[in-house]
Amino acid sequence: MKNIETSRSTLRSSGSPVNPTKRRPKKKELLLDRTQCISCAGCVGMCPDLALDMFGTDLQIFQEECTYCTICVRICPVGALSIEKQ
Amino acid sequence: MKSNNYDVVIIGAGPAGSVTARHLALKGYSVLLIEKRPQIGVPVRCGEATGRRSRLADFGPINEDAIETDIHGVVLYAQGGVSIKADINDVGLMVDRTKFDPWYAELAEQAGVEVMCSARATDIRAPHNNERVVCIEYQKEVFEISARMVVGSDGVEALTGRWTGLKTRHLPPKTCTGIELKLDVMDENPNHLTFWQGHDYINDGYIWSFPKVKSGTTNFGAGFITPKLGSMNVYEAADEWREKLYPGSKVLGVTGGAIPVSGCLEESVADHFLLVGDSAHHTNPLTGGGIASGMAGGLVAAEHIDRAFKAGDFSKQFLNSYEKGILSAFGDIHHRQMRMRDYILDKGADDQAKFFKMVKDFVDHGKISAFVKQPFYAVKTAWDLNKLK
Repeated sequence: MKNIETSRSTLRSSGSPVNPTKRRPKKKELLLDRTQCISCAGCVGMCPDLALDMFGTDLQIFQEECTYCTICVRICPVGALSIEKQ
Repeated sequence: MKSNNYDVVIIGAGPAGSVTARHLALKGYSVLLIEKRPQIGVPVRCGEATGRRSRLADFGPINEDAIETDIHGVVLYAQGGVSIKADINDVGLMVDRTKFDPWYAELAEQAGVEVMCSARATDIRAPHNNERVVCIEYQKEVFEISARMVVGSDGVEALTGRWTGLKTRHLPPKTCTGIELKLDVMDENPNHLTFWQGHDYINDGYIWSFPKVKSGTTNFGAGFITPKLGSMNVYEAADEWREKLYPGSKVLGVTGGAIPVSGCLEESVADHFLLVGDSAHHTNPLTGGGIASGMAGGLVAAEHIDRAFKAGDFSKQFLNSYEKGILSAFGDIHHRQMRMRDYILDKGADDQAKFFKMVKDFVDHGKISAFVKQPFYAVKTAWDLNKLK
């Protein structure tokens, strides 16, 4: 039995490996408006980087994985996701 | 978990997963069904309209408590002011998914399936020693469960498919996004499903209004192919149309989600693994409906998993017969309906109005079943006949 943190890293290493060349310096941020999110998880399946995950009914964003492809912003039916320049 | 070794582990306790689990348990296999959400069926992310009663009866006893409305027809307001009203006896049902989903999980449990809520699958390992290991996170601990066969029925997320190397992620236009507003009004046709489609309304999809008679509410929604960045999102579009079509109505709740509309996945099996339901894109590409077809997929899956156990062969080659079974059950119809959808959406406003007039002719002459079963050929025939006139 392991703790959750290690399980998440095994998930990422066995899932779709993040290509280091895709990484850009962090100038943007993917933001979630939790008051609007309806936990539909449409964004989770569309994310190419596995940067989003649904824990029960709680959507979590892993900023370090995100490559700002905007597909989740487009798919979100309520417009709860947005990408902001820092 | 009672043990750490099962014949089959099923990930996702929606209707498709529960039906698969139940039918495998009835055949005598030990089955574990896990659901990551604390409560099965909540939150709803669906239009809640499903197939006819007789079709639903194939999947097990029907829970009358979960049925909201018996649907006896369809009303379509289409491009160019064409309105089509088709009265078809027992064409479908409106259900309450918060009662519908737990019912099928309960049936599975009665058949001997072990059901676990708040249990998240975090990984599916590559096959080893003729079995796969599923990592399950439950109450902040990670358990490793081994199984001969793993079934992914985790809906639109379809992460299980991605862990096993299947291409479940289809970019727009193969994905729709939909929203549904629960309204406190009742439509003038409380036993009909009402749709609005065409350039006058929404062209890349449609607007719907499904009455839930028992609870006295209406599921009003809109869905269309995922829009470009910066254009109006589906919630704004639906709310705008709500004001126009049901002025003064009150919104009691909002649900929604993504809908795969690509037709069945080309590859939905891997060694010791298969996908079923939304995750295998078993949704109807024309209507976006996926409850009944997901459950029908569950039946096919249970049958082919049984065959695999009997043959002792869980290889991808052997499980390929499942994909063929899906195609003959409903996949081929879905592919035809997808061609139909593309045909409608590609048309300009005038052609679309002509097309819907033709559909109206079909309905008025009582040929609706020909149209529903073989839409593309029906349209082609009608088109050719029109040219001859």
